[in-house]
Amino acid sequence: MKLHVHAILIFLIIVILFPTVWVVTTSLRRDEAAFSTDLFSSRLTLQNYVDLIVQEQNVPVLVKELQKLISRVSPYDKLTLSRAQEKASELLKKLRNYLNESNSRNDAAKKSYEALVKIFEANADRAKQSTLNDLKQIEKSVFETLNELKINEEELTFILYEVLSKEKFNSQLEKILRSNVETIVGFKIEDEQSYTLALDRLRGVYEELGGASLKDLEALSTQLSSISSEIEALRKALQPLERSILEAQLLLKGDVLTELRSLTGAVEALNRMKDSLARTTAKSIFPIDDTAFLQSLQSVAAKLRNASNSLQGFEDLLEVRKTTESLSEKLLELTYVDQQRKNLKVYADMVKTYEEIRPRLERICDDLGRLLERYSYEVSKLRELNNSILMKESDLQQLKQRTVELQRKKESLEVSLTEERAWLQLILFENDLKVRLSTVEAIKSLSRTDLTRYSALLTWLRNFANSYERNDRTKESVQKAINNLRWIEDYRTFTSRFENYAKNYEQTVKEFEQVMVDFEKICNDLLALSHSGTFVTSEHLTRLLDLVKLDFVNKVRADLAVVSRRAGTLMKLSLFPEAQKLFRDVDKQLFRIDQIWKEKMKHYFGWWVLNSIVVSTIVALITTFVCATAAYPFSRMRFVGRRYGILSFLLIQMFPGVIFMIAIYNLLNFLGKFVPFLGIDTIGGLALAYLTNIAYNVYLIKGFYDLIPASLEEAAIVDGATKFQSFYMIVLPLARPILVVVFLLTFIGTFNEYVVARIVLQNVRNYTYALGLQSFAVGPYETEWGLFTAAALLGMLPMVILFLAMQRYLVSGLTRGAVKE
Amino acid sequence: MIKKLLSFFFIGLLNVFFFWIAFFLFNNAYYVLGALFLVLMFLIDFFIFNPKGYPYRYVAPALVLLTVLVIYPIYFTVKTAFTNYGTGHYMSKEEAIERLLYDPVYTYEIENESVEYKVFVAYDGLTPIYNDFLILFKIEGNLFLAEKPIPVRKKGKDVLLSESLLVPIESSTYQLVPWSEELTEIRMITSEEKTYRAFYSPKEEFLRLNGSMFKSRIAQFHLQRSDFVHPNGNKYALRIDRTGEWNFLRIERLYRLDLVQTLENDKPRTRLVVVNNRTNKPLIEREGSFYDVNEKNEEVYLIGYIDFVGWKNFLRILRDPRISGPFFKIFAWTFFWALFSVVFSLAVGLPFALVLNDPKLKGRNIYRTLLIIPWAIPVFISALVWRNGLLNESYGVINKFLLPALKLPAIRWMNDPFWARVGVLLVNVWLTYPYMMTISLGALQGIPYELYEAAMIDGAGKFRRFTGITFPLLMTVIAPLLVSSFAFSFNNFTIIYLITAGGPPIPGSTTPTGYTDILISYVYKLAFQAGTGQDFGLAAAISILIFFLVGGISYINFRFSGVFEEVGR
Repeated sequence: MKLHVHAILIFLIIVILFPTVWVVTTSLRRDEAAFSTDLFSSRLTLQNYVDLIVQEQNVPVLVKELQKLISRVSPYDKLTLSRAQEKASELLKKLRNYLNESNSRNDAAKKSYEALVKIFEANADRAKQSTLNDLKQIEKSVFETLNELKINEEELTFILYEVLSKEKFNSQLEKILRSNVETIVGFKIEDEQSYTLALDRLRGVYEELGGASLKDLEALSTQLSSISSEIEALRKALQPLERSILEAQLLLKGDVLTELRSLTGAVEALNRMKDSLARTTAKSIFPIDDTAFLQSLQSVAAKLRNASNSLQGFEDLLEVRKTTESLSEKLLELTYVDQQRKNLKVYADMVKTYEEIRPRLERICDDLGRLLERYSYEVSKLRELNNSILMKESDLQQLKQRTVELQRKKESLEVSLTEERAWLQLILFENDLKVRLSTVEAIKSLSRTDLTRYSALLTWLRNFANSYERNDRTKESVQKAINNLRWIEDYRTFTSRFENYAKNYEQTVKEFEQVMVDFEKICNDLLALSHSGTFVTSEHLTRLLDLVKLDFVNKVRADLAVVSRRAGTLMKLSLFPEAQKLFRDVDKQLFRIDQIWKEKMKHYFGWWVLNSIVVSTIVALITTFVCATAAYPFSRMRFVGRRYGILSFLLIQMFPGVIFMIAIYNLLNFLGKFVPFLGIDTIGGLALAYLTNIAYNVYLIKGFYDLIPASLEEAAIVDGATKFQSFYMIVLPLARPILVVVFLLTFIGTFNEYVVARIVLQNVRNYTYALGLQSFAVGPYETEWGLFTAAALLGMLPMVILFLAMQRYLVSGLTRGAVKE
Repeated sequence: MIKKLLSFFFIGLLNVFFFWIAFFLFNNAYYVLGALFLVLMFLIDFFIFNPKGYPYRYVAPALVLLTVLVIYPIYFTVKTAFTNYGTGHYMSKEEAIERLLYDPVYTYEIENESVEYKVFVAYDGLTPIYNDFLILFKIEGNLFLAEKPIPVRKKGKDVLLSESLLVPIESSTYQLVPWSEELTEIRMITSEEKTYRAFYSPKEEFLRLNGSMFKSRIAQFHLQRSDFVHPNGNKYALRIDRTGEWNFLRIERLYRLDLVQTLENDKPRTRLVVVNNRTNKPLIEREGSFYDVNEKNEEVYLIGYIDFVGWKNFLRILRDPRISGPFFKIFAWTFFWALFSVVFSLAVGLPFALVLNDPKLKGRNIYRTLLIIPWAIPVFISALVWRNGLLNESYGVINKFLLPALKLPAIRWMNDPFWARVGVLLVNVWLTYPYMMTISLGALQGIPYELYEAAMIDGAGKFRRFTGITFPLLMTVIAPLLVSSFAFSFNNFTIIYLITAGGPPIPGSTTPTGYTDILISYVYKLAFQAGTGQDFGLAAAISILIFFLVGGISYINFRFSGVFEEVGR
């Protein structure tokens, strides 16, 4: 029973603590952990820790320092000439040391490299044999697979025709497949003629099986597209028509209608005039000539009636029609006047008034007529177009259906053809295989050309594996061969890149040395010049810096990185155990060379930890002092507010801290204008912002004070001490345990605090450790896991140890009040 | 005797100090804080001189800290909740007016002709002393000399405006060498003690080379907010003119203060307004911003100030759909987040506590120490380690190694809302279960063994013993701690912010909200992430709501756990 409990516990602990283990291992890794395919690596280094704690002044830093020295930029602006010259020679010496180290390491790497090449050369034969074996294995499995495939003769014919219809007699492909074709058609193919004959036979079967439908499918798709474009064109023609119809409608319903209505109003007025004829008696002096009047009335009324008739079919224009009709009627009404009334004055007025509106009436008739003509023409045209569109669309539908049918047929055909296609692939592959085998046979060593051959073989195998869809023995053996050849690829990259790297390295470093030697000669003179007041920069130094930043990075580092990575993979090769050590050595030397030349970003890790410690200590001290004093009366004396004081403060302190931050930010901002060390972005200001944790600590300390018997103090008072003296001479020393706890708790709490620091601090140099670590984890450092985990570990350890040492007190404090005795 | 004197002296000093602080605060418009300091001063005096105030003397330092860092911020937050403090409204109205009156941006150039000038600088050997300079002007044929501008309007340490008077060369104490009407011929200016050599002039070839030094060392530090005042009142300042060159142009202020008679409630009142000097129209004040009217009669926004807006922020939470929608979503998630944190971490911690409670288990101390480690690691470190190394979508250990080994597809931890929530919960449970384990252990140890014995005699099996004895007694002990843990998780900003920064954003909300945002991180984003504008007013309003929530929960907790009585003991 016990054993399985232990087992479960241990398993769970491993799972739970895995992140911490990961932190430790990642901080020690040499490769880029984020991009590596391994969870753990055996290539270890302490470089990350070194980078954080003591930033080494490597080559780029030294060159930049020299630049600053020459140009008299701070921190070198106050040096005397002799001091400057001393410093310059010191820096130059360091530079030379680095150069020497780099060169010696490069030599060591080259030696290991040469030893490696020798080993691999010695074993070239082994590699060749194993590759040959793999290839032969593939051959065998291809043979077996071919035998397993069930070939349908008709479908085979289909495939063969598909492939050979574009091939000429005696072409490569034709020769390979000739025997199969001969078996199918039953006669030998010896020349063009027989070939063409054979093709014809094949074609027959091809078309029967479905080749014809494939052609139909093509034709259909062209038809489809042409009909679609016709429909497009028709639709396009529709648009202007529709627009013009709309315009016409707008006109009719707008201007025309309004005009008609107003005219109707006028005519109604005339009609009323006419009605009033019956009541008037005044006769007109002159004779009234109303022929024109009547004529016009008739003609206008007739025109209007025509118009309203032609508006018959259009429902949108109902209003217009009605108005036209009514106007026409009203006009006609005007003609019904009794003969004897025709000499009345009012009639004369009527006629005259009509003359006024006649032009308008005639114009509106014209307008109407014109508009209506155009309108009906366009509407009928629209109808025509719509009809033809409909017809074409139904054609389209039919065609689409046919296409779908044919597609389905084609797909089912494809499905049945898979085996045959695989067969074809294999036959061609088999053929290639024979060629490749002979190539491999010809390989003698692991020289560059041979490696290229291996690489070509690998690519060819990879291509086949990607295009071959069946999952059978062939594919397995091909995959196995690929896996076995991978190390050769890696080795090839390793060697070619290393040669490249060595060449570029030597070139770059040689130039660097030359420029440096030149510079050494004139260094003192430059310094003297600079010290006489002119602003001096050194061309040599600029060139050196360029060499480091551009040349080295572009030419050397890229290759270096690839070589290191390949060395890492090749290290794990079990094929040549003696090579492992050499690969490791190459990796180590190159890593160090990289570190010497690499331009690293400046970290402020040390500053961060220092800031955190300073702030935490200040805050812990002040808080402990204030709370220890404040807790005393709550424990020993009676006063107003004793009972609920602490609790209300506890409650008030529940206020979300983030919100305080607006107020405290505001306060610190204001304060910072007058008291510089207490503003935003200062340690003092941050410490001030942390001094709010009073209530809980008072509660804790008060609880402890309660446990100290009051008799001790009473005795002291009897002896003549004041209350305050009894407090700080008796109670405080006795309360030391809880005070230490409060101090440590506050220290840990402040050290780990993130939010307030985030708000108050802005300059990277002023960050606390918590803030700095976060800036490590996002932004440009996001995948530099080595640095990040190293920094995390360094900060984590002291806090964890402190915490673990203290947890007993915490637990007792938490549950103290709960266990009722 | 000496002691008494010393203590009186100390008390006197303290009083003076507090009084001075209060006065200083009043001067800078921090009225409430100043009043609080005065109250504190009186209280402390009361404590010291009144024997009944003896207990309070001990509390005095804590009281000062509490007032400044807790009570005042609470007041400030409440006040801010009723204002529009935020982007566009950062300063008080007085400050805004000061800006309008004195900032060089609010000036206009009167003539587009620049005046000739030449800069003379004192030298120390070969190096120029950049903060000791003179500028010679030629205005309408007369030569004027100006010394370095002196600040005339300050706000704390910030200088709002400096001035330098133009003195006609005849009446100044400086001599031109050689004397000439043309600036180009003058080489030096001497006074009794110093010599100033010609340093920069835009018109002379040789001196023009010093242009960059003039701009970076002299103009930037001393001439930016400076007016050069002619004896007849005209002002000149350094501006970039139409050709892109820096030149001295004659300027005038755009705005001035004026008194205006208005009729309010049938009573004539005079009001102070800011008037545009060119158009003579007063500025429009609306909703906490000043607006000017340009030639096209359109309103132009000038500057904003903090203004009282009443209940608007609270109403916005309830009524504005773009805020209330996300707000309630966030609220719901916060609640469930705290709840699940507590429940799940208890579900993990309790079994461990039960197992480790057995005194016969060998190495239980080692197990306990190992299991506590997640709690000991600072939260921000764990959050960052989980976020970067394990939950990272492309490179994280889980996505790269664990899931492929289990043949599962990669999980989009940071971008899928559901998985982001699972991720933060997972990390929080990892961090909190040791706490639950520890308090359960402590509580379990308080359960007397006799109860179990009695139960076993009665024939209760293991499970029955757990549900009947262990769990109820455990709950009574740790219930208050669970509630306080709930309140803590409710406001646990650090972990949410460091892992997902609020998580995949909720689409369609105007304020920055994310799926894993809890109320606190939402408030933080509103207040400090100026992406869509900082809105301190709204942030303060929401925090007040949070306070009532969490305070209410804690208050109920205290009541039920009888803590009040214990303190009173």
